[in-house]
Amino acid sequence: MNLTPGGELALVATSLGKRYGNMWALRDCSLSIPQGRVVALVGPNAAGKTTLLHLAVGLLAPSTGEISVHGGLPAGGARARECVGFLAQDSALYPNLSIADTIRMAGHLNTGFDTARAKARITQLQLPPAQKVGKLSGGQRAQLGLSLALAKRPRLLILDEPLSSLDPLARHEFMAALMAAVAEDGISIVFSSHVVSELERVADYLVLLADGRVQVAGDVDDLLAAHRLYTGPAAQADRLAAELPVVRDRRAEAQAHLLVRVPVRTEAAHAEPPEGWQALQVGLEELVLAYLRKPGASAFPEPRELTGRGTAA
Amino acid sequence: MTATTAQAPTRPTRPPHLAFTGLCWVTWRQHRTALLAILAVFVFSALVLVYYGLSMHRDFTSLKLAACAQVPGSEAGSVNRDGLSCANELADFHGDQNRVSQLMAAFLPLPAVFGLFIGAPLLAREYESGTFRFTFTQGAGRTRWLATKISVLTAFTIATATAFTAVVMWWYAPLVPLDGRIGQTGIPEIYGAVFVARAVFALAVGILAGAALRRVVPAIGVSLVAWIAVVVLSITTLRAHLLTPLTAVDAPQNPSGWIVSDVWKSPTGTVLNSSQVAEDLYKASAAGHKFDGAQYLYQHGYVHTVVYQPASRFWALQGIEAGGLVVLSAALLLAALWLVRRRAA
Amino acid sequence: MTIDKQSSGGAEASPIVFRLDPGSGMPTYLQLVQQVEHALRLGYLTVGDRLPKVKEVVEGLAINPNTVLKAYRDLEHKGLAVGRPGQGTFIAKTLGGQSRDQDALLRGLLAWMRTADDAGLDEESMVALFTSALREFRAGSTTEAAAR
Repeated sequence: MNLTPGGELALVATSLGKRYGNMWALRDCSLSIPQGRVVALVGPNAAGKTTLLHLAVGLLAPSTGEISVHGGLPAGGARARECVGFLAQDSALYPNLSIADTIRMAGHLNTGFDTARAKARITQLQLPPAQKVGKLSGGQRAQLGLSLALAKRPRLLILDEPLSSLDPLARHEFMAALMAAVAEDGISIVFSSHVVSELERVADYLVLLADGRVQVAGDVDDLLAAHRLYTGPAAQADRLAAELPVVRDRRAEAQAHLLVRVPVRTEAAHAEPPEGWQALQVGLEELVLAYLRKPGASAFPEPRELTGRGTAA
Repeated sequence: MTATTAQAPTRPTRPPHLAFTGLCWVTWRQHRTALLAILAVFVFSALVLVYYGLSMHRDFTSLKLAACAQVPGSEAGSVNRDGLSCANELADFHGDQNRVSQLMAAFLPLPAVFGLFIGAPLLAREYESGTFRFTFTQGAGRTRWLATKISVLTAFTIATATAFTAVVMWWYAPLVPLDGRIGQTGIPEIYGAVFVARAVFALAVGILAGAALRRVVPAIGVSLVAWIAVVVLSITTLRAHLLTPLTAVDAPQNPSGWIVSDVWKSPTGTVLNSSQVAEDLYKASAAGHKFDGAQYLYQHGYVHTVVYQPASRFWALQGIEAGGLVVLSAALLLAALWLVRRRAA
Repeated sequence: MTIDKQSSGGAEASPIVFRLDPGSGMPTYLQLVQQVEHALRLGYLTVGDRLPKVKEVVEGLAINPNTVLKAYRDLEHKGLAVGRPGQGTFIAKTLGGQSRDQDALLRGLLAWMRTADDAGLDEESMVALFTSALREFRAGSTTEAAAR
């Protein structure tokens, strides 16, 4: 799916910024996210993730810059609201309404709402329609919110920390439902999380926000291909660090681990480590943590060339 | 490429616009409890009025007080057409009349409930509980959602208040010829257009308070204070000057209607109060001869200036005050819409 | 005790079901490829069997559908599977015919074990050495593949 050429962009932000008084919650944010991706928006708390997502769905108006969704629709506009589904943190549903009434309300608030699909999911999840939403568990509320968002038949689904208040089983079931929707409808997903482990299974595009700025943005495959962990003698570490951009530098007396960024489209076909050094692939979690520790560093990898065989890697 | 994903599901055809009835249902469902509670309060109050009104109407007929009503040339209700005193009948009717002022005082604050229980929580609860993050991101959007709610709830407010004030008008009917509708009575507060307009105003100020403050309890508090302030202001100060009052100088008897000010001036121009005037009259009458007090005062240059609003102006005054409140309410509602559209979550 | 059966229709159901080893360090799509190859070797899958539907895999494992697609494409590229539009991905070829290579490999492995035993390694040390070498080999091979 992510090798389909061209197509609209799921989300475009240009120098986007949001200010509250003197404080910038989000600053100078530029993104260009292709369609059909599962995008993980990660960063520490108060990094600006919720601000970015709220700007994307029109709950906030930008202080500077612009943001558009699904091929250039202004974020929050009438057409964008029709094709973008949103699940707020903690679902934001009315606690005194029953599940059935909530579905009915969502049906009245949207054109083209697939009530049958929403009801089918509720039945499948074994949620009693007469139950009041306030009495549901966090996982059940999240699943209900997801059902409503999917019944809208959106092209882009935005979720604000959907997993944060869920127990591990509920997390798994929620993610499974989300991925099934991607498999079935081909929608784009942007979800935020402050937990980095377990992202690698799900995300194929990563945006790392730190302190209101975009530090890393790119396809996960591109990012991982663009980084290596070089292990070798500490004595040579400085020389190596001078040649390649180093994201993380850990040294002991004799040994050093350098997480470096390697150029992908080099003349030399392979990013060979120098003599005496070993190169290992880096995992996504390790990569994200390394960048979080080094706020000055950033990475916006270029997409790798497609090889003739069609599967790059 | 393996096509293991299903074909794009058949999309239901989107209707060109959202049904108004659908949004009406949303409004009803979200405010069901408050609407039913307010209806219950008004139905109960109307039943109270009917209960006391039936007995008042009965007494009025049985005491033949219709004959005592405004006989030209005499104070209202003092004598009947045959010239006989009505004092006994009026004394019998006194109990009913007392209850009238109690009920008027009890029902005066009723219009405020539309603001406290419908208007203020409408937006404040959405912001406070975070549910606006769901509602404002649905296809209908915040403007259409709020505009529909405002129209439905305003219609409900007008309908309920109008029905109630109709019951008030029936209930007060016997007293119209006796006490009038304008003047020292409190009846204008619940009889007529002003009652309905105050209800709409309460709703509007509540909605705006909710939009601005975004917390339920402060919104309720501010709405109540604002409503009370406007009501007190209009009763004490504004109403007298909605239409320029008429002035009667040295009239043979006090005009019927609402006396705004009643000033005696002595021949030398100083302002006198009524007891001083009575004293002067007493001194003059002690001189002995047949004495027509009014003639005496007139001949000696006492000037009696009465500023008043005639009873015939009742509906005009109601209309102006109600109209002003409606215009103010419309402005408040537009301000609320504007605040909500401003996109600060 | 509940038994989770893959609830796909009747005779068309896939014989295998995938699992994920989150601690293995191996990319998810490679795990899926390996599991198919393993199933082929052990006889769970034969030519004509359908691989699990993307949606089913994704519902069970909560992974990105692209990952499953990538694995299936890899298998197609290796010639082991073929995709039929609208129907699914089916096994095209078995992994048979490699027993001669495997015999030689087995002998080589036994020889290495004798050498290791002479050097004083016990069973556990041999397993540890083999595992770390496997990891190094894997990292080296994926590095190479990525750089191509």
